[in-house]
Amino acid sequence: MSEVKLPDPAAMLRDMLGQWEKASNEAMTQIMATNEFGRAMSQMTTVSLEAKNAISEVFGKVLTGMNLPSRAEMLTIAGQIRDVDARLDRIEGMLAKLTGTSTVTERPRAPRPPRTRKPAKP
Amino acid sequence: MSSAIDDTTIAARVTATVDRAIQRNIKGLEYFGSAAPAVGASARDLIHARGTMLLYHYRPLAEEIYRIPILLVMATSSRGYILDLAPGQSFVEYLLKRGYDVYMLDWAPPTQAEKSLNLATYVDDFIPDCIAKVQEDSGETDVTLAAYCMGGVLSAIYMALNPDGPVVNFVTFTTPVNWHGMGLFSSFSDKRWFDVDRLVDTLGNVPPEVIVASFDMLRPVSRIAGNIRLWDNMWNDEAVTAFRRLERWGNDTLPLAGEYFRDTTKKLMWDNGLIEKTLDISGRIVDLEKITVPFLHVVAEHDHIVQSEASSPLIKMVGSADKEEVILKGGHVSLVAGANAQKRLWPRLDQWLQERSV
Repeated sequence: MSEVKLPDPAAMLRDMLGQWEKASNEAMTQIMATNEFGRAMSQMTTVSLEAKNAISEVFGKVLTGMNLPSRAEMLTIAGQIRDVDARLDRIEGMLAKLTGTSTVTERPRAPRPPRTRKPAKP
Repeated sequence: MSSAIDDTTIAARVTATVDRAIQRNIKGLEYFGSAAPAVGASARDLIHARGTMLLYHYRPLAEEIYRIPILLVMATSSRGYILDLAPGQSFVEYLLKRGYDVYMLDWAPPTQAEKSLNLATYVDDFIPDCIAKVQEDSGETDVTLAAYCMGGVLSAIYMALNPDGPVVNFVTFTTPVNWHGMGLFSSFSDKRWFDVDRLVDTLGNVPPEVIVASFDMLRPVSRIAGNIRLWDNMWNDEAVTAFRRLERWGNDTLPLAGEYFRDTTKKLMWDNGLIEKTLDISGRIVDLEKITVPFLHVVAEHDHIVQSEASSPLIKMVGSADKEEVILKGGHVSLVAGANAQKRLWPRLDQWLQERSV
């Protein structure tokens, strides 16, 4: 008795999806590799980012009018805090040099395993 | 009887199909209502941070470890947790269990105040600073440097400029050197139409949307196909979680510091400075032949981001006597993370590192 394999429609659809993905990716990347596409995409990206930036500036002005900080201002403050952090790090480093202590951030020092491991024999 | 498609087989398949359809609907609703899965499997300490630069030490998991610590250097546009996704699926966890002392140089999003960071900052400041901290924290003078993608480019430049430095082994994964072989990236950023000065001067830092869109355009329909596959697998919790972890990582792309992006575009993408030996970092020309430590270069056979044309010249350019290129099946991400990486890259790397880490 020969056994007939039952076709699996779901597996066939998955296979088709894979083939469609591969073929579409190949076709579209060929189009995108052309100079015309590269030029258009580059200009579109720059223009859309500039537009986004301009909108952010307008919203920033609105927020200023409402006496609220903009996201950019909050990020600037965050950056300034990080700069202060960095400055503290440098001061800590200088102090550590003067006192001969470690500059690595203090943390609970569990005993480290010994560094004596050898490669496993083949 | 010539065939035997019995009724019970058909009934079982119909039952399974209906059951999965119901599960898809129930779990599909849960999907939209639930938070993204947690990432980062291994216990670690942030031992040094300065602006965008973050240095982590992972707590050892073996009772005895190799003498030489490993510093992993992440790509500047990517979060390091791709190497430590979840217990049992973590490259870092694998290394820890195999007895390595692991550190990672990871990146926080650069702020507008950091838009002036350039290639030289990463190569001459961040990498040597972290190596010094690894030496200090581990108490060892020798260090192994293992770097992913753009982290590999920065590390290779550092290595070429510091041939007598503390790094005694060097490993790169999916690292481009021939930037004219970067396929569509080269076309998108062609100097005839891509005005990098206008972009950087206007925006300061380059937003992650630009980077994500560039990656997506390399495989324009894969995001749609991925979502169809997600729906198909919605009944399978494990597959959905794995998909969401990777999706979260993909969408968690970092902005790039403006000057760094300008340098990368002009000196690497336009001038192909590593191949042409014209790359100048703070007045020094980068010559990869000056790298002489044992070197392992891992390339993904199906890497659509860093294609073989872009990465393969590296092995010939490096001056090491002990050097090896390994080409493994997989893509740009699946080379280092996921089920295939567990079978292919991780054991291969362990084999290479063992004897060089004592």
